Amino acid sequence: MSGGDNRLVRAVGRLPARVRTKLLVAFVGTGVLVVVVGVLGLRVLGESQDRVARLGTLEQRASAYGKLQSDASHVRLLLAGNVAGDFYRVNQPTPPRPSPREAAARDKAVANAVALIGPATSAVSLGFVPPAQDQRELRAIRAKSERLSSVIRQLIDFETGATPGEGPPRLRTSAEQLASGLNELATVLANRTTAKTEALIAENASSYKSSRNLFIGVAAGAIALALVLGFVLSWSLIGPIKRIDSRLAAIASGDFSEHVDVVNRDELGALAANVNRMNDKLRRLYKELETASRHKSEFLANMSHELRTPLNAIIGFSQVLRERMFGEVNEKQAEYLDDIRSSGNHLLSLINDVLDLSKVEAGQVELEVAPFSLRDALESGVVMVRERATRDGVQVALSADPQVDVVEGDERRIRQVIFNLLSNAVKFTPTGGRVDVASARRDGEVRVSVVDTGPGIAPEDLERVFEEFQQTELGAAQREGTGLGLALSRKLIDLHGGRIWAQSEVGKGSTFVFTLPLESS
Amino acid sequence: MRRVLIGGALGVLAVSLAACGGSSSKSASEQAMQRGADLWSIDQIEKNFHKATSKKDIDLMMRLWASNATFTTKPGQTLTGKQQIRRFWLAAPAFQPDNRWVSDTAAYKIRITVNGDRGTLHFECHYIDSKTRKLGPVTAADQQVARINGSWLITDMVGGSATLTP
Repeated sequence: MSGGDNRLVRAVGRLPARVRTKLLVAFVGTGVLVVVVGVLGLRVLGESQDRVARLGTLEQRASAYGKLQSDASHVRLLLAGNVAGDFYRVNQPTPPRPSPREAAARDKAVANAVALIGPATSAVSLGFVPPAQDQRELRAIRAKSERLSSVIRQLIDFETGATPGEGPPRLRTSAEQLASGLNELATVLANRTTAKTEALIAENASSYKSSRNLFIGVAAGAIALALVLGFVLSWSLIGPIKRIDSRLAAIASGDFSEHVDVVNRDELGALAANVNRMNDKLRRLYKELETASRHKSEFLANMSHELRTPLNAIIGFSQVLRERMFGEVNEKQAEYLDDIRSSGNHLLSLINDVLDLSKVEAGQVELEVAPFSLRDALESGVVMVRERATRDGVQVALSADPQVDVVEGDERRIRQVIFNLLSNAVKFTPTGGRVDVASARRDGEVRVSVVDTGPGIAPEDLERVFEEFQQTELGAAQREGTGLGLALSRKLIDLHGGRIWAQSEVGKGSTFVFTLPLESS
Repeated sequence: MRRVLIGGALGVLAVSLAACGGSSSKSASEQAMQRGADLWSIDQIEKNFHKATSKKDIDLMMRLWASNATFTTKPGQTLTGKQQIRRFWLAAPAFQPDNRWVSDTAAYKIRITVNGDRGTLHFECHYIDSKTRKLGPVTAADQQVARINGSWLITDMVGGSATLTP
């Protein structure tokens, strides 16, 4: 999922702030979202707690008013037993008529019940301070209960004979109507409280739903915003880093053709600008190096021709004269001609080695790698040095491992190395000495060793002999060689991926070894 | 994928905020309108009560009662349920076929209260003999009503007295 080209990502990258500042803002922003969600959650809990408290108050009120209603209903039903009006007469043609004593007992029960109602409306009896909207009903209940008590007392006086007569029917009707009104008022209080309770429960359910949805929505939104923030910020950093990395990889592979496009105005923008500057500088240097290398190649080619041509003439003509092709030469002349030829050959050899070494260092030597017979190359090398060896009384022996024959490499260069090692061995082995050449397979590589019984090499010279123009004291004293043979051999073996080294002790001969990777054998 | 994720998250937020918007409680005008409708509905109980006794329509009468209603008809007797109440009315003089009573009421004496799904209803019944044009029994009804499944019904009634005074 690449966000590097996203407009928002690039806009964040363009913000003129440091990377640390951007990260801090992102973390703080995420923290704020978490706090918002937390605060919202606390608010929801607080509202729920508030509703629970209100519900408790309403339940207390409903219980108190319910008792009041129950008492008023009880009074109403008691009075229904002594009803004066037509209801029971019309529906019961012969309703039972209570005796004065029964009627008085019932009315006394009514009086006792009514006596409880008035005091029950006080805040102390209710157990709470009634709200303002209930005060009217409570006052009316107190007033009606007092009047009803008065009416019932009058009825009792008539029934018990305290007051003579039966008492007017209107008194009983009045008592009924007062009780009816009392019951109605108490029922209103109870119904109102029940309605409020039910409304609060419904509000609670609705609020819970709303709060839950809001909480989920805000939480989901916070998560989404946090993800977007994280995505945008990370890609505003990762995108430029990836582009810079790609450009650096291209530069490493030699491609200086483009600039990295980073719009950031932070540390990454500065880094990208530096990379582009480095790219331009490297491009210029590379061009200069190419030019220099081209010049060097041209120089080597010219020098190779310019130096060899006169030397060939010197060597050739001295050879011709020495062989008396243009007349006799005396002994002294012959000796001088030999010196001329020898010096010419030495100079030619030196020039060849110098030019070869220069080519290798300039990276202009391209190996022509192909399978070839190592055994044949070793035998050929032995043949080339045999004449000198025989002349100097040095034995040369070859013991090639029959399992090691075909190897991969540049045959001409490997023969050059073999000849160099063999000629050094023969050169520095005294008369009666011995040079042994061997090849073997070992640890996935071919190992060729040249062992001589010469004077040996001091430990401090073992690495030095591989340096350019470095020879042992004996080599320098003998004034043979250019001091470049082993340096060139090392470079050629290195090009093949092999190794070359020397093992020796003064007075105990020397062993020169080189290895070649065994691609197929 | 990225756009889907971002769009989905923002959509959830928008829907949630929209869902939580607004309150479930009614406005004052809605509450007043509802109260007016409830008072009218409860008043219809009184009208249909008199219509049923005047026309001797027992089914109309029984439609006014809740299934578990109570009715105090005489000292020490309270009927429970539609079956008992129906039997009472069928035996009551107002529903006898040879009785030509027209049931009337003093409208200004009707008292109705309503709180939520509960209320009270008080009215008088003046039975007039349509043949002799003479006033018969004068009674009263104290009722408790409730809204059950959207309809206002009588849940409790206590028969009472009334006086022919203003």
